Amino acid sequence: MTKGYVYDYDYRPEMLVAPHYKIPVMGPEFKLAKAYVPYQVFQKVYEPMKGLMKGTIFPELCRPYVKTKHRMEE
Amino acid sequence: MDIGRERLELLKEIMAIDFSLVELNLYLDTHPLDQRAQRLQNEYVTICKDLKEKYEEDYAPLTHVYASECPWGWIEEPWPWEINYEMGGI
Amino acid sequence: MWIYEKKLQYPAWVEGCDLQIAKLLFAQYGGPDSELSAGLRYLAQRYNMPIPEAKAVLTDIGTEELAHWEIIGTLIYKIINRATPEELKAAGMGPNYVEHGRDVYPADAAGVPWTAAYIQAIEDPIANLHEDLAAEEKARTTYEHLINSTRDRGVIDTLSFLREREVVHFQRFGETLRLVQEYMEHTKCMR
Repeated sequence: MTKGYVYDYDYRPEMLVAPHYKIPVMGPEFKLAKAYVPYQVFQKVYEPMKGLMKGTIFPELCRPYVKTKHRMEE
Repeated sequence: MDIGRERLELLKEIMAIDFSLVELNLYLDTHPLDQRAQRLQNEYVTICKDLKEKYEEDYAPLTHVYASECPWGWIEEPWPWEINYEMGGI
Repeated sequence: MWIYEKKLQYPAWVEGCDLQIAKLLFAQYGGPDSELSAGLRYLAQRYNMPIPEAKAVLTDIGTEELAHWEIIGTLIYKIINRATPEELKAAGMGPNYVEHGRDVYPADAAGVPWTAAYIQAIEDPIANLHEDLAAEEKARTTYEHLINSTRDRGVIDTLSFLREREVVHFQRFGETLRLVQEYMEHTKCMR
């Protein structure tokens, strides 16, 4: 009797779920029907005034918004 | 309301260091074992205390916990929403 | 308990007198996805969280949201206090002026008063945290809509700060969710 995982297809680290999207398979420690946000690892910080102006002291969390033009204007 | 260049610069420095402390506070809430972050937090706390002490001595109280002269200084204007932060507008 | 610190978290400023954006800013002041909703939601949900990290995160982010509520109030205050009643009426803020003067009353951009029906607290920490993650994304999106709706540099600058805070809050709630999930797994195994 076999233990562990049995695959009836070639195991690949990502799955092709649609023509354009490859979704990485997460290991068995991640459960179905649960959401997972990656944990941040502190590297370095902006100095205080720069952090205040950017809205965060962590460069990896900095996600500036680029104002979108309405399609009609283009 | 304008509050003078020096007072405004000090207030902005306090905003900046306080903001770093808020960010580190939130980070440490979910990373309570991160010693590097804790060391940085402790460093900033000292700087923040000094800046706030200077501000309260020279200009105006930031919390109601302060030794006042007469009249009661806490009520003094400007209140935060009245200040012209001189970032390029009103 | 809450202590008031007599300073804003960010040096909120407006460049001119864009009354249109003042009207729209109420969305983040008293609307369904406003800073007020966020603050009260998190502060209401913190009581029964199963782990100390979660109680801390909800308390701290809830408190920060109230500080952001103050910033939005400040932006609205700065803009509408430069306008005459006639200018307010011309900008479509007539009803608001008649009913509230230039006070910054907690209602949404259409004048609908804030209600706790905008928030939920349901004891289950997984459900609560998912609501919080959604709230942060909705707030971020509302900020993007607001930024798209004005050219005032001060308003855009201040809103960009607040929008970035929503991104960071999402990350913290995500990490809290991971911790709670681990805790629930652990307690399940121990039973």
